[in-house]
Amino acid sequence: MKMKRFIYAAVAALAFAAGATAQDYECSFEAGDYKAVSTFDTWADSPFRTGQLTGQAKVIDNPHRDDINGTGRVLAFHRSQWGSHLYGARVDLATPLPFADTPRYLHVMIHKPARGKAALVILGKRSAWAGQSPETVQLVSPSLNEVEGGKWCDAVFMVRGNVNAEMHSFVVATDTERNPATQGSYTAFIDNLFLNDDPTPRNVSEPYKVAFDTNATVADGTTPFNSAAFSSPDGEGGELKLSASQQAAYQYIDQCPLATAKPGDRVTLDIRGGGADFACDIYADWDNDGVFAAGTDGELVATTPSLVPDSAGAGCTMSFAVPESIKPGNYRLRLKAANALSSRPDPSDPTGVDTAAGGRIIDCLANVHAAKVKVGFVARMCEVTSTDGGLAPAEAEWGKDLVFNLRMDGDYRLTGLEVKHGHNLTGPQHTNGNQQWSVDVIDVTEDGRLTIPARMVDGDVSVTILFTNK
Amino acid sequence: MHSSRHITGRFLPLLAALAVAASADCAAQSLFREQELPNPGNTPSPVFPVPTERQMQWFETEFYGFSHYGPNTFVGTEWGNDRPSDPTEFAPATLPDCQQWADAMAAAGMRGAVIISKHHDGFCLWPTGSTEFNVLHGAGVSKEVNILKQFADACRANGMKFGVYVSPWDASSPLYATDAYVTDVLLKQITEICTGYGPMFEIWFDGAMGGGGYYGGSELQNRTIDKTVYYDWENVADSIHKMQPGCVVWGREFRWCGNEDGFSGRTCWANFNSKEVFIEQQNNTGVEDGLLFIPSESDVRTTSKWFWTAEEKAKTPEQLFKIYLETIGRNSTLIMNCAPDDKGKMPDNVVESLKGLGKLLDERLAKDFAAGRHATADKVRTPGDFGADNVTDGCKDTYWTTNDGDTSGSVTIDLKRRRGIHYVMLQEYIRLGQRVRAFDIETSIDGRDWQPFAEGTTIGYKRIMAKDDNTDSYGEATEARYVRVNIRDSHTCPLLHTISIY
Repeated sequence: MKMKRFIYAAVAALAFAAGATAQDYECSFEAGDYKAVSTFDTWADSPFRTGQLTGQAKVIDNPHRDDINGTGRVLAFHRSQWGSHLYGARVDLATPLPFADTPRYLHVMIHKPARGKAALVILGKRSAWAGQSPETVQLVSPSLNEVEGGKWCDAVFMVRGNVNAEMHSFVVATDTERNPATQGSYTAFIDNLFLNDDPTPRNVSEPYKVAFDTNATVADGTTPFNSAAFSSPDGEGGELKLSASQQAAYQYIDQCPLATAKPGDRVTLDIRGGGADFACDIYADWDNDGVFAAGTDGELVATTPSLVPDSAGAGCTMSFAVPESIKPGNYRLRLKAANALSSRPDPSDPTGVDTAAGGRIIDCLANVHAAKVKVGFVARMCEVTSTDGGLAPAEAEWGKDLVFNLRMDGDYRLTGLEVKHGHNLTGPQHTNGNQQWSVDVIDVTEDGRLTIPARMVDGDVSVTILFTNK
Repeated sequence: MHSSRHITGRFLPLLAALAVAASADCAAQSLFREQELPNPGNTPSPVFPVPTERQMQWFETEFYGFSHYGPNTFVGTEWGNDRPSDPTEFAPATLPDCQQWADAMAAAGMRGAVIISKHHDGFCLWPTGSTEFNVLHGAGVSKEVNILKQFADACRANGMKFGVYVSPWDASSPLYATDAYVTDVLLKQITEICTGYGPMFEIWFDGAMGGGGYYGGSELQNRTIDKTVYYDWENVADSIHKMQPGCVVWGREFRWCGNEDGFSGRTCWANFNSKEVFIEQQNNTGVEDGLLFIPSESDVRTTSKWFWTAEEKAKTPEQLFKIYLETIGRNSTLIMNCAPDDKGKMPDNVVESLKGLGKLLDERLAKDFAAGRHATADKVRTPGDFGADNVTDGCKDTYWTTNDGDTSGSVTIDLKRRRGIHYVMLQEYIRLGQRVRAFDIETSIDGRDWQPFAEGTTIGYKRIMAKDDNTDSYGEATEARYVRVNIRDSHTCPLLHTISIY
């Protein structure tokens, strides 16, 4: 199906939000603001709970002092392969902390050998229940971000609970490996626990850097080319239009992906010049780590070998292949454009252009998707079926309308459909500023044959039937 | 070629940094002693998360009933929140015949049942001290009703497990949406339920989160709460487990399957995350890398409503059997609602359908052709007792598996003679975690030429496969003497404790 081409003008660069910091708790293992350290496993049959093995954790001098974490003391934890995926280092708080019923964030600096997610288990109790054990599990929360290996990295965990409950201990599981017994043991280091209202990891540089001030402007009247239109076997994608009067040297177009493709597809970019020579390099962050890898083995996916002569305004066509191994998701692309007036920047450097001479960097998104997407329904007080009366659809063709039948139970009235669509629907909405999913509400009050429009079938789809009783 | 001095000059800082890092890592490794854990039986290590013992007991219950009975039965509504609280709406002329309900459920093959003790209207069907809005103030023989005792007794007479549904949302309570409601009303009710009626296997908390109601007043108002934090489920569950150590708690130890139409996902993981319980969008399929073991329970109605109304038609036995295959047969338990009428009886049409379902289960899923038959495998874990015959020995505690890192393997069963096969049932040994990601099944008459029977993704506690995984009808049997199950992908070594062939 050919998707309708949509055109985007330049927009301002996306600013990565820095949150407020309302600190309630801090522990750097130096000031004595913890009562004790040990280990804990949620698995009831863990050898660390049955007594077969003894957990190992202790506060030591920081063996990895650097610019990111220069504190003197850290918690060392022996992450034994014999514990469960939620076996971790336990820090008993000097004073219990009350939960908040709105999201807060516990930041934990972790230094461990290999990259991966971490988990937080909070032990505590209801404040007023004197007889209750303070080791009651209050929360199990996966880290919002992956923890890099081999360096200090700030793991962030969302913390939320009933205000009548209190936290007594934090248990930091430094990985969530499902079969740890086959992975081997290792030592991890934990430091700088910090509870605040900011979900942004500390000490993380802004993703997708450019080597100039993102607010820089180019001279009036210069633009390397007029437009760049994406297409792929999916059909026409988005079109980027540059105007000589739009002066921003850096733009991030994030309203929706300009390119769409399946793994293995070739994406084509049809560039229309402005009557002057130009050059263009295209980068793709296929590992979604917030960095366009530089260098000859980097993430440069297409380049014009030299300046494209364009006195006649003919432009050129560029293309690149989406790797076969890429998982569905929205990935950042970067177009680095230079014109004949500037010296050609090194294509292996994704961050630099000569802005004074009119060079620009435009970031946008590529939606990499499977041919068929998963569909799920949250359906109470109703029956959802396929259009032929069979079971509710569990998958749909990407980019096409999703049609199904809905019949509300007699006492209930349909009020709408809440549609969550995109990629990795259980994960964070943004990964390094790349939006992965959206939520739309379709107002509909009549049962029967209903349609989720094709633009919302841009990845996996989850439909919640909204209703009220009559 | 660079001079050695040039190399040293350029790389000395890097070498120094690497040396410091290496030194730090070496020092780190010497901080702790390595620990060994003897494993004389060569038991495979767990793939987390794993179920607790009470979750296993619950999973093995598989199929149980649900009984919605209360004021709505007499008024003809489903929720009852939008009426002022009037206990005399509950007006049974005769005592509810709980034994008849339990008998009808047992005839369907149900191994337990969950009774509604309080629905969203807030009316308590037992003589509670937490509110005046209870059976002691109803009409008819209401004062003699204690649905918890009567139904628990009936279940136990049939050797069935007993569970209770309590609606957290209470449209009659003036305290609803305040902190005091949870401690002074809900927890008080839960305590009475958990301490007064013997062992329970399940306590069910409806996911509705407030809405319109009179809340003890004279005007309709709207009260909603944030269900992720308001009820403090973590600590409420802790209290429940002190009183009922064998009782699984809704939302923490099992999850709603995401629909009320009676189907689980063809791919269905028991793994989940606690925040997903409230978002509900992954309920039908689970979350493969979820941190917690929160398996799926499918709820369905034998009629089209939860509470009885006179016009209701019952689903046919074939329809109920299809639901059984698409729930219990897809790594979920099944709670099937059978609503009693205003005379306190299970309606005849429902009784007949349940009986019909029991008959179909006996006819189609009771005689296991594979029981006791010889099985072989292309890979077997050694050393240890993990051979292929474990899948047909009738014991759920023995299993076939491969060596660590072997994520595939095949088991072949010789039925000794040609059989007409409709279903192949697989069960993973999920005590050590759910693992299988992809499998297929083949059949053969001579053991040399193989035909595809079905393919699937997850197995979990139980997966029942019809030909081409088509549950629409009983269909024609597939003639075969040999059945081969191929595990194509798994988290480390797959563990199958039973293969049954019907």
